[in-house]
Amino acid sequence: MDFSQIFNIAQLANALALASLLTILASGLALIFGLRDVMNFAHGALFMIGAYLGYTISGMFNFWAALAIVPALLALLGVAFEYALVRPLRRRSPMDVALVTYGLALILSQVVIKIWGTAPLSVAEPPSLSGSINLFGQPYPAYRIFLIGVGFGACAALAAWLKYTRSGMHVRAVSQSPMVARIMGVNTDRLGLLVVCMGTGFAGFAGVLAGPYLSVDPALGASILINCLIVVVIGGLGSVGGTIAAAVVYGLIQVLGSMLSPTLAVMAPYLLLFFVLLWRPQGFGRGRVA
Amino acid sequence: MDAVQGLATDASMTPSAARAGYPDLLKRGVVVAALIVIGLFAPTVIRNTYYLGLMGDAVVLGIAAVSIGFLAHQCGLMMFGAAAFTGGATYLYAIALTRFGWNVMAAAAFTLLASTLLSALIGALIVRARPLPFAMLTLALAQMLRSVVMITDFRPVTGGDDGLALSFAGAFFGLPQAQLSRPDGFWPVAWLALCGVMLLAWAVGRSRAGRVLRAIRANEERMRFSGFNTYAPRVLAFSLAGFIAAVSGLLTGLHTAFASPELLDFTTGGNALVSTLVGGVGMVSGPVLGALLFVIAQDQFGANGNLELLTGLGVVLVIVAFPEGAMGFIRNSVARFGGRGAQAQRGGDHAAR
Amino acid sequence: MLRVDDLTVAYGSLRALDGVSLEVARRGALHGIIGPNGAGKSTLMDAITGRRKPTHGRIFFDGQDVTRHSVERRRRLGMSRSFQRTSIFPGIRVGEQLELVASQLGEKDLAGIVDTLDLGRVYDELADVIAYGDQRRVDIALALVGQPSLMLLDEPAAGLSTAETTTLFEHLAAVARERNVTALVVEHDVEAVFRFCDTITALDLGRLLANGAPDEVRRDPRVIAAYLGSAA
Repeated sequence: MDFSQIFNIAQLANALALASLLTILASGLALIFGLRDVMNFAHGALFMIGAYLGYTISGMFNFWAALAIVPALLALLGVAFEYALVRPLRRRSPMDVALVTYGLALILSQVVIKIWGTAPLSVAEPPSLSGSINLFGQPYPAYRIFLIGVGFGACAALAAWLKYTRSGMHVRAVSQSPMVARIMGVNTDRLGLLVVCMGTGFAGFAGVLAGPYLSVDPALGASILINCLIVVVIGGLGSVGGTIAAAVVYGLIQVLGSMLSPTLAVMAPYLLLFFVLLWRPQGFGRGRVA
Repeated sequence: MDAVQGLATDASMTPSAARAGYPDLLKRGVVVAALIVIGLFAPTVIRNTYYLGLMGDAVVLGIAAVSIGFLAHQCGLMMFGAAAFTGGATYLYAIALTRFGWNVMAAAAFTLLASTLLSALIGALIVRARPLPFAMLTLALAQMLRSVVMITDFRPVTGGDDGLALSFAGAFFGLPQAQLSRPDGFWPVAWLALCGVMLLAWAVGRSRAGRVLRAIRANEERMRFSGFNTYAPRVLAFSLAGFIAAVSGLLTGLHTAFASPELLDFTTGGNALVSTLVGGVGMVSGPVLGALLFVIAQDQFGANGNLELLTGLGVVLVIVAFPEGAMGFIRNSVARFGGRGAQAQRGGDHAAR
Repeated sequence: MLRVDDLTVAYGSLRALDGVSLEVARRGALHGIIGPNGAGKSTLMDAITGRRKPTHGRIFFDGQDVTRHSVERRRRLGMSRSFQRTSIFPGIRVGEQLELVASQLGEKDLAGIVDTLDLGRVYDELADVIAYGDQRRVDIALALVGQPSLMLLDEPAAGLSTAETTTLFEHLAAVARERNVTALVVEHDVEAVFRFCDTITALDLGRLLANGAPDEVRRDPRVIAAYLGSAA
């Protein structure tokens, strides 16, 4: 019996690679929402900027430089985001702010096109990671293994930070009960700035990682945003742990779906979203209602 | 009748300025009727087929925007995924025409009926969600339909990424496909449809049902504690919005004679949403003005290039500085210059609170 | 006309309300509900009006078992309430919102209500821009519309000065008498309650301490111990 027909390692790894990217992105989105009550519709655009900047800096220096520099640049962008958008609009309804981020997404994607053009760009894998590894008897691109490892590793680090450090605990507290945390003396403004920068930095990080894996084109932002939103909501708005879990589940659903029923794979995330938003609005993690 | 009748005589409690007497209403009615008839003759005035085509586009987009604006103003809910309802209707029309093999009139009737019913079903599920989850649900719905349409198993029905060509034999209210596909042939149908939905939205807004909806929007719990069912009115409002959106989708199908997955794209729904926001939701004409501005901008700045930039800037500007949109701004300016001072209607005219 | 039987509202092992029974028979009476913080006063109000579902017990209104009735159904039967945190309709004119509710509940004398609660001045104003005191009275007016036979007022004097509280209670007593409405009033201002109410219920930690005329309640040793201390 040819097991590769039923249990395709390559497909599994592909799904995990995508899930890894999604996890990083969704975590950033969840962090920003948890602390700032901002559903950032520009998150996909930030991811895209990260990918494009990754392309440029990889070209100027190398991939590893990009991996170090781009998240920092995006974090700086996060500072601008916090001061120019989040703070001035903090009295507005979450819907208003979400709409502004939507407008911002449109602006940012145009900025990207103006600078880099519309043609898809390809980013080369770093030489040390090009080529394939033998995985259970099948060749598999080494870069993707790296992607899976780094992606989930970053999320594990984030989860550890949330659980074991003081700031992490504050972030969790504010995410779950903003009022109570503030009364307890948590400086939500300073924490908010930190978290927003982490969120945007993560988006940049994911963007650089995605470069050699996906095709870098102007539609990158929009296509990943919806999946991100779904994962964050299912995981529980404000619950980063839940988001990470949801992203993994999402990836696995894609795998199972592609093996069993492509139709189900397509519909499953949306059905799950409907279910969550209608019957368990706080998500599966320890989140709160939008 | 309103309990206000007994109060009208008390000088200390003047009825709100919005309550026009019957002679006033009649005058306005005549003016509106005249405008509608005049509008029908636009093709004779605007000979340029290209511009007439743009106006047709503006009307179709405007109808979708009216749907979004209606729901936003009356219920405080933002339909991010309007494409699901417009594009979905186009596909229902396409399927009725090409797969069921019905004639165009039956297909059109089916489209509107089925769309409204489906809207009612979906509304029954999602109308109680808070604004942000609601928006995301509609977005996910649009995306889901987009993906469903592309599923290879469903290709025989939906045409997959090739889409469905749907030319009809016979006539739609006496107009054959060839004529409907031309801007000047399409215009009367589109214009009348626009006037129809605008009147519908306006009438509902002015009615008691509209007041009930806006009160629910202001304080849903207190409405229940005042003896109102707060669920049914919102489901009905959502169904009406779905109906209006379906009109837009049907017109697209009749005019372009093609149903493609792009109709279900988020960007398609996003255009209508942007039009609504920029135009302003406080008045029924706001979204239409916004659609006109959008189509003009689209023409001037092209599909690639600065259109998206302008759109994005427009959205940010409107939310931050002009929450009542272009129409609201115009009305406030007129009121101010008209000497009525700050009588401009506040409060419920913002796109979102 | 209102009877509450063994009402319990429990969250796991926490009992916000524990087997409370009371009866208010007279119409047009003012019935006060007092108790320290956390006594369950608001929970009692929420349970009676249907905002919260009791885990155990029943509520009878005018002889009817309304325990399973929806909020809006109870209102239409004549049970209304006002809110501790002012709950009115922002962005809508005072007159418009009153008229809307009046049309729903068949109120024929809206002018009288407006007059009684002194809302004539703000009738054409948007409800969210008027003064706090005016907003509180709009809140009560919304509860008064439609000839309710039972009104539950949750801390109607919240945020008001002693003098304003006295005026409010005088108003309430007059309204109760003239319109034959029974008013259940949750209130922290114990003096006002003892002065104006015909009967009083005292709660503590979700349980009923005492129920009866002001003098009885004032002298009840459990009430004194739990709440009044030496202030009685």
